Amino acid sequence: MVNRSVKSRKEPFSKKASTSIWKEDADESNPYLVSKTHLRGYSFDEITEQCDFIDTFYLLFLGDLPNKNQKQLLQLLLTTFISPSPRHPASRSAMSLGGGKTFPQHILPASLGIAGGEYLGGRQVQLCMHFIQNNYQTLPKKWLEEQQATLALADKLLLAEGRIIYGFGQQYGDVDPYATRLANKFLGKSFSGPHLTWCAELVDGLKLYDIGWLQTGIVAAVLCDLGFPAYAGAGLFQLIQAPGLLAHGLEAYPKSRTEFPFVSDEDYHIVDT
Amino acid sequence: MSTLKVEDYDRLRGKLPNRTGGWVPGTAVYCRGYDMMDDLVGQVDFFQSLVLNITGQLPEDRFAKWLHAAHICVSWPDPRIWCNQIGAYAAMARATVNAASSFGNLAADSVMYGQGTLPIGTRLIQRFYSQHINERKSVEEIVDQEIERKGGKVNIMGFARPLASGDERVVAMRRTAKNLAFQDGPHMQLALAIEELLYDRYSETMNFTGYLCAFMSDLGYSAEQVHRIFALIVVNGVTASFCEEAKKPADSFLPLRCDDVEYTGPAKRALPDMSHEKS
Repeated sequence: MVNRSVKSRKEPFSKKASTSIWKEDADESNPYLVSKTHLRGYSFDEITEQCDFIDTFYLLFLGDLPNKNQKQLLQLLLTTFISPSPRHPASRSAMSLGGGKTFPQHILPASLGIAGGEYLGGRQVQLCMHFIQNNYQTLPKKWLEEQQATLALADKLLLAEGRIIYGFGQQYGDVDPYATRLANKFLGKSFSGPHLTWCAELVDGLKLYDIGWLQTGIVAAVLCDLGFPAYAGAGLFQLIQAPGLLAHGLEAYPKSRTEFPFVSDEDYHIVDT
Repeated sequence: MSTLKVEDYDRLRGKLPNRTGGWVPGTAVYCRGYDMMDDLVGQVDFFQSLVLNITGQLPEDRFAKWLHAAHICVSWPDPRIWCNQIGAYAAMARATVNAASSFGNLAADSVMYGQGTLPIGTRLIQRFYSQHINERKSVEEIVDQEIERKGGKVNIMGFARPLASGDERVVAMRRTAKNLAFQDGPHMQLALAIEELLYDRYSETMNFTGYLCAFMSDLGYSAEQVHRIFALIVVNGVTASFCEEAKKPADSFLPLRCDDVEYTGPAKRALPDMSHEKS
C-alpha cells in the first residue's frame, strides 16, 4: 500500500550562495555596504579605468581577459547581431510594447522573452550549440551521409524552421542570403574558429536540401569558438540582441497609436467558427 | 521543401485570418463560434473559457472545477519556493505586480518543477502507456528501462519530488477527482502501478506532475495542450509572495551581508598592462 504522507528529505543545503565572478569587500561600519569590488580577482576600479567593454564582457563571462583574436571575434559578434530585423517577432513585440505604452521597464524583458524562441531565437542558438558540440568531431560531409535517410524523412516544415538541424534552415521559403553574407564576415579571418569553419562546410553540403545559414547558426558557432557551453547560448543571444530590441521599443514609445498598422475589420477574417 | 512561398506570404500581407474568434465592432465578440457576451460571460467558468480557446471544445463543468482545484493545490504562498522567490524579489525591487506575476510564473517553465515539467511528463506517461499496450511491456520493464536510460538514477518525470518524499497534492487531487465522479482511466492506472513499484523499491511516490499528466492524458489532451492549459498554474503563490514582501522595508527580504555570498574565484590579482593588447 502506497503511503503518500510527506517526509522532509532533510537535504544538506548550503548555508551561503557562492560566486566566482564578483567579490565585494564590506564597508567597515556597515557589513551590508560595499567598500571595494573585484571582478574575477581584478580590482573593478582598475577595470573601469583600463579595460574597454569587450575586455570586461569577456572577463565577466569567461573568467579571463581575451587575447587579440578572441577580442576581435567577440567584438564582431556583438556588433553584427546588435539588433534583430525590425520584422523579427521580438522587434515587432518591442515596437508593439512601446506603441502600446507598456511601462518602459517591461519593453526589454518582454521582447527578450520572444527572442528566446526556438525559431530565430535563443533556444535555437542553444540547441544549435548542442548540435555543433556533439558532432564537430565528425567531418560535415560524413555527418551528412550518415543523416541522409533521416533528413529524407524529416518534417519539411521543421527542417525549414531550422528545428531539425538547429540553426540551419530557410526564411520566407528560401535560403537567407543576408545570413550567408553575415556568416562570411566571420569566415577566413585570423580570428575565425574551427566550429564556424565546420558549420560553413556543413552549409555547403546542405545546399542539396535547399537549406542554409540562419543567423542563430552563426551566433551558435561563434559562441562555441569563444568557449561557451551550450546552455549559455540562449541567454547570450538575448543579451546580444537586447540593444536593438530596446531601441526599437523606445523609438515606438512616444509615437501615437495610429502611427502603427492596425488590421482593419475588412482584413480580419474569423474563419471556421 | 513544402513551406510557404513568396506569393503565399504576399497573400497574407495585411490580412489576418483567425480561427479562434475576434471582435466585430457593433456586432459581437466571437470565440469559437460563441457570442462571448451572450453565451459565455456569466454562463461558463474562466477555465472552461480557457480550455475553449486552447482546444476549441467547451469542457464540462466538473472538469473546470477540477482545474480550479489543481491551480489552488500547486501554488502556495511560500516565498522559499523558486518561482515565488521571484515575486518576493520583485516586491523588494519595487517592481510592479505584473512583473512579479509574469516573471515568477515564467520561472516555473523549468525542468525541475512547475509548468515546464508538464509537457515532458505528459509525453512520458503517454509513451509508457503505448509501450505497455502496444509493445506489451510490463510495468517493471518500463521502470527498469527508464532508470537505465537515466544512467541508473531513479529520476522519472512525474515521480518523486525535491525537498520531501510523498505528495499531499496528489492525495488532495485524487479526493477532489473522486468527489467530482472522475474514474481512474488507463494512463492513471498505469501511473499508479508505476508508483506502487517505485514505492516498494525506493519508497518514492507519484508527484503532482505525474498525477496531472496521467489525468489529462486520460481525458485525451496532448502534451502541448497540457502545457498551455496550465501556463499560469503558479501565479497565485507568486502574487502572494509579492504582496507579503511589498509591505516590508526595502532590502529586508533575506538580507545578505557582503560576506554572506561566498567568493570562490581567483585571488586578487594585478591587471596586466592593457595599453598593449594580449596576443
